[in-house]
Amino acid sequence: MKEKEVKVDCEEQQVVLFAEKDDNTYGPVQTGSYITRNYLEDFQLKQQHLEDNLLKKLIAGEISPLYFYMTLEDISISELAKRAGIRKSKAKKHLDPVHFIKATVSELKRYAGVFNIPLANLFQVIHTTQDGNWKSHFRETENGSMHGIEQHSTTNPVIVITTTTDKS
Amino acid sequence: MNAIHYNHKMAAHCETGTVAALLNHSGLNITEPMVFGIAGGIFFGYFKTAQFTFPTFIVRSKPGQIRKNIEKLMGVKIGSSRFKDPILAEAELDKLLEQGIPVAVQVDFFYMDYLPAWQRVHINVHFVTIIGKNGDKYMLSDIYYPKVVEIDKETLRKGRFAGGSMAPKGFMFYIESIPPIVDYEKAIRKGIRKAVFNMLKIPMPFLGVKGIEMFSRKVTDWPKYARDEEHLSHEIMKINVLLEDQGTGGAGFRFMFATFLRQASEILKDDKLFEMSKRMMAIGDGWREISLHAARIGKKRELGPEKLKELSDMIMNRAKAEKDFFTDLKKLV
Repeated sequence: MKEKEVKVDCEEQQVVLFAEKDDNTYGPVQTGSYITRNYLEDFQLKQQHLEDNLLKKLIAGEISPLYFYMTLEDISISELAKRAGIRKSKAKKHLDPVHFIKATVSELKRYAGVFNIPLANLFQVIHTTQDGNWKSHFRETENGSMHGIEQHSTTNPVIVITTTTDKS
Repeated sequence: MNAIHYNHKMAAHCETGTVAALLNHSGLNITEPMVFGIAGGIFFGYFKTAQFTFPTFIVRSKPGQIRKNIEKLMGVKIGSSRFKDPILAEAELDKLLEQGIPVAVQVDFFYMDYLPAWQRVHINVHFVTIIGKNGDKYMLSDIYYPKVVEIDKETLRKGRFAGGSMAPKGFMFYIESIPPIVDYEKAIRKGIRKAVFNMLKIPMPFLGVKGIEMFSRKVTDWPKYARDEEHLSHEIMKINVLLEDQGTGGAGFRFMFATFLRQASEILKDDKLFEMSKRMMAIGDGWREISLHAARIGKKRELGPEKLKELSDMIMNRAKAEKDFFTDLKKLV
């Protein structure tokens, strides 16, 4: 591949590709990501649809919060169970809302840890907007100032403080 | 604590780029493709296991092998440790930093919060280099990011101690010493033999060239594993990401391997390797076409049997080309 053929203008994601230079040598070329440049919107649209569909099912009680986050994060049940240190058969049951409510606080804390969210967010949906689209899950690590919402963990492992700021 | 004077620059892949940068820092002038080639990094594997939500493939050798092979084949001494206790892991890291030693750590990519959210996925085998500490923040060089960044101590700890498959367990490594003379000829030939073995000789139907053939046969079955059309589109477009964006240097490491062969031909003064580098670059061009094709049909939702068959045929052509290539390459070493 020639250097000019791999060149993509994309500041959001830079990558290094190897290509044939003008002097016929092969070497690294820092450039933009082709897929991010051309298809990021499509990816985000699909993620939004997935999130909307999952949220409907979550609210209707068809899936558990665990299923919601696991599918959004694209983690398999085997991987989730391993990361949480919970038996796969048990974790599989927790995907069903009927069994999810029987999970212990300790188990739920471990699941929340895998998704890097406060425990409280397994029991609530915080609606935020991003680029005009509703987002139904709010991450502790996201930039609170954009939404006017911030979540801070506390010394108490089950308590998170959620603050809102009037952006007007 | 001040940061170690460290030449941060972007590279193609986290393990090869990190190892090359650490070697450069220690005074050994070596390129990323040379690290990749000597370590026999080129590979292919097709997987459909419970670990993944969807069938997938890999285009490089097992994480950690690059470092191990470089140590073995070049005589570089690399210090490494794993930990059960995060506090101890942090203390050991701090101790090395105080001695002015940059330290590579294995992390879950998900926690690298300086990258945009859409880029971050749960992969436990990302490598970054820690080059300093400022209070509760570490200074970090990630070859996927254009500049040195700071990361919270707590966030780094989460990344270093994420659970799951190939859990990092606080793994870290650093260069202890480099040999006064490196026998590049021997190392290059061994690396090429390793690459040939990886691609042609492993007796598993899902690895090496046989893995590419399996990928070609199985990709037409992918619709039955998808939730809906958008999910299938996402997975097909991920072919592009896996081949181009996930630190491969383009075309699933084939461009990087071509560059290695080109540099090897210069060191060994071997015209045949020079020709092989051109052939590998052309093979890479074919993989790049597959990437672009997958992205286009995914975006247009043209995911019927005909388009998938087209994709399958393109992949099978790569299998044939690589079988011929590695058979010929074997004759040269």
